[in-house]
Amino acid sequence: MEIKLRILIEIFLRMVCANRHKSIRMGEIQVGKSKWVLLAVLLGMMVMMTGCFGPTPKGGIEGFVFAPTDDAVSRGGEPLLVKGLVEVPAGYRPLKDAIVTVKGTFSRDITDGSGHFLLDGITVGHKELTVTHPNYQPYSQEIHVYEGRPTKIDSPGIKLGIGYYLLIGVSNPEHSIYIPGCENGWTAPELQGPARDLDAMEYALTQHDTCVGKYSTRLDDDATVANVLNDIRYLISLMKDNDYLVIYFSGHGIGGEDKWRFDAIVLHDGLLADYELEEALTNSGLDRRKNKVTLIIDACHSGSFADGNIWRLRAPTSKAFMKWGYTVLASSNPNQESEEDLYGTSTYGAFTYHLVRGLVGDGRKADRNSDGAITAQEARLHINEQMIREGRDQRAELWSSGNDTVIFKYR
Amino acid sequence: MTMTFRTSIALVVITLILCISTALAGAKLPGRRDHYFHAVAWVYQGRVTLAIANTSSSHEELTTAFGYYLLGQRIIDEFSVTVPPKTILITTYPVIRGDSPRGYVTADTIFIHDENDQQIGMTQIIGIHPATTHYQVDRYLVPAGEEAIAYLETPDPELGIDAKIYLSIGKTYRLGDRMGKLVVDKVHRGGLERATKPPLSDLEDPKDFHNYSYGWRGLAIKIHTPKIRGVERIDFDIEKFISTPEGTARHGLSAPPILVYGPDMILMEE
Repeated sequence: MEIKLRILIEIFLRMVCANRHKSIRMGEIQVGKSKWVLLAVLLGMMVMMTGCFGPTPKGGIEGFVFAPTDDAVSRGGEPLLVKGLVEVPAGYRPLKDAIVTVKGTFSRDITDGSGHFLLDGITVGHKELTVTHPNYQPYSQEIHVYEGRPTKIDSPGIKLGIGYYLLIGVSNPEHSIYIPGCENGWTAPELQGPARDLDAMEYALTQHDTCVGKYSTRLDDDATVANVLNDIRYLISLMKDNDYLVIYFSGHGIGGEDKWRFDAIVLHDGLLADYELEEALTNSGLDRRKNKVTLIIDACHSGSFADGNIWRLRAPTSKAFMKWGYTVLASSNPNQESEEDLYGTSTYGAFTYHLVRGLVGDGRKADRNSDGAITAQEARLHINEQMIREGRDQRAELWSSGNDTVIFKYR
Repeated sequence: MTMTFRTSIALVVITLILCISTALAGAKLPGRRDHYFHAVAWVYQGRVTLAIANTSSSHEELTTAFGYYLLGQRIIDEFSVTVPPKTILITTYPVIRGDSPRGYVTADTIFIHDENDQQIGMTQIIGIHPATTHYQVDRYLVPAGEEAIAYLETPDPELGIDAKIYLSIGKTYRLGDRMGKLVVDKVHRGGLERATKPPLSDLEDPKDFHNYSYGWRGLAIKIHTPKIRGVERIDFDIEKFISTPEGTARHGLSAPPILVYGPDMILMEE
């Protein structure tokens, strides 16, 4: 420790001196190269000494390898099975001495008599698992490794595709709102729910077993149009194939079933219309064939985002979000208001309250088939059940290019 | 403060009496939304009819605020009303209109406030509010034990030829804590086409729904109501689908607001 400290002081002195003179001699070492090199070394030393980066997050994978019972058939190309459960599938037997590796790492294990393997100490992220055995064709599978204890190989969370989330809440817009078609601006009343709604959503995303790539929150004066669009660009740039983006908004909404009505969410400094948001996603490099996008909107008239109609002066033929790859889960239909209510001691949007309860509370009731992946349709069914139970007219709406759009995964 | 033996016995007896009478009356214990007042409003002969149910045993001094919603509640006009105990009070009002930056606006919603200005109910005016265009009913107030009839109508959206509309109606209805079966009695108007494969998800069973597809124009739904006390509202699932080659939009339409009232309630017209 003492030696490290001495080296550090010496390098610091050299750097300071290098700032003043092109070259000086200190001890045995010639100092005169770029001060930036010294700065980098200094920073490196500081990191080494303080340990401020901490250990790289690591996780693991656990599973069982099974082979078909008829070896003759298997040599002809029958695939191996890799499962997370010890139960032997019909027509298969545990495979001993198979070599299990993760590409790009030194992690390696050999299966035991039950076909079991355990790989630990793998850096988190997308990986490729490979199983080889002299008698069988190699098996490989892409997976996502999460931080913490090893995950079972067939846990839904480990399959490729994780969620990136942008959470936006606006209680009180900056100034009166100009709505196209209206001569004067509207002053929107302050909402009570968005701040708590965002807290609740963040709580859901930060549970230890939630599968989240990255999330960003924008509340009130931070939720400007520019910030939101920047976040979208940033999150899309991080996403890999099969990852999905979820944009959540709580606040005021504008819309209606009138097909030419202007549909928008109200951000702090202005409106963001459905077609503007869709254009922003496309311009940010989104490839809908590889990455699905879900909008979750808790706002009055939010079903307007799912009706495919956009303001006629802009582009009457566009369908905004009614396109393949998009899913819109809206808190109410285009002609309905979305209610806030007191739950416990805090006010939440009724839609968000039941969404979060379905995602992480009440035994994750929204996950109806208990597969660890909650789809937009599962969330909607859960929310509408609660709306009816509470005697509300409000109903969640859904546009989706399939019934399987995942919005939330856990291990 | 010390409690004598007699006082203790008296308290226990009073509590027992209250519990037994509550059970006999079939009343619910107070819940989170028991402060909510059931109300229904509709346009009849150019005037707005409003029915407010007071199931409590005391007079309620209420304010009915006529307005609409755009970026928050907008109130155009307010009226005071006193609803006697165990009464459904029916009052009529003119159609309320007001100025706004958008021009003339008609109040399509009634917000009900108590004497502390807390909102205790809200109802859309059927016939004015755009979210009420997909249904009609025979009666909005149905005595318990009689039949409630609702007519559902499809909107006629201008969709492309590749779009298909489906409608699925849950086979059960809810009335407060009770459940029962509802019957799709007949085609109300137009042709009927039963759908064998509605775009329900794997999590829903088509057998739980009455399923119809495009060609459907209107359905009459019959619900024989049970004999209840107090006032409850009928609710059932309505799923409308618009399917296109790119995907399916699911609209969760709300059921018509039919109130069922027991023999302990008085209907009073003002």
